[in-house]
Amino acid sequence: MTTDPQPVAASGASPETERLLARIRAGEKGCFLELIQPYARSIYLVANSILKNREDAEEVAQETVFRAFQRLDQLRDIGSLKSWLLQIAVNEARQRLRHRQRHPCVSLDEEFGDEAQVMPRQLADWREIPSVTLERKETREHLRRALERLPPHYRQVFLLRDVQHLAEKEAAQVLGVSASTVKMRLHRARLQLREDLAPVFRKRWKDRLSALWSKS
Amino acid sequence: MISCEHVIHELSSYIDGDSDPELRQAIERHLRGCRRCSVVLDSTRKLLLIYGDEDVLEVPAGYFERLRTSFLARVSR
Repeated sequence: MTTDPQPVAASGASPETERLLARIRAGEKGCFLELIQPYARSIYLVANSILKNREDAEEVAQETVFRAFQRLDQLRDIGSLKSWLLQIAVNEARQRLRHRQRHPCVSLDEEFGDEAQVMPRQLADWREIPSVTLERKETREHLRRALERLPPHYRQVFLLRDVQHLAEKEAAQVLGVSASTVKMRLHRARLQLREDLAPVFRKRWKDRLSALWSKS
Repeated sequence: MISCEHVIHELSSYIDGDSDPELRQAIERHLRGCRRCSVVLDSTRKLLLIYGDEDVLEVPAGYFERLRTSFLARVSR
């Protein structure tokens, strides 16, 4: 097995990226880590959105980086490095999931129906959310758990589109589904997450009243 | 006047700026007169702002270092 990648087209790449690619070509394999560093976090989060297991997601991330290095010659456009890496991560994670479930014939795309319409029931205003609230461990835990409670395909689409900010077409390509499927799943993921998190972020009138009373 | 169901169905496209201009105007007319749909739109936008901050979801402590160590060990074989 070779671990020496062929050069990738560097058209449109930043001077920094071109410099890194040149060094990788020259055999400085460690430079590949610098090239993918901006996306290392995304790789883990995408793997975890499929596996919902930290150890597995981390192993998949490690596998993804190594595979990407081996297949660097298959990357045609350095501008799509992020979605290319995430596509490898999705494939590696799905492979691991199949292995874990030992049900290779189960379709990963049909675990639940996509037909149900989501209608909002939580109709309270959300308060303005200061960054200090988001820095709290408790809030982050709420956000992480809410994401984990989403059905797998909603979660994966939401993560790629609204957390990783991939374009609709890129997310569709990474997941191997149509753009209209991405659009529909994203819509439902957003509504469901909003519904789920409403009790956490809604205006707490009772809290405000107690604060007023405690001052008097 | 379009219904609340219609507005909710189109909410994501509206937020992403994908609705056609005529539908967009109809949604905006509806939102001016419907507090419930306005609240859903506003809270959905806040949701996207919260999750759009990439640091909100954490990676395990030591993840980057282990990634580096694993990679360097494999390519040096």
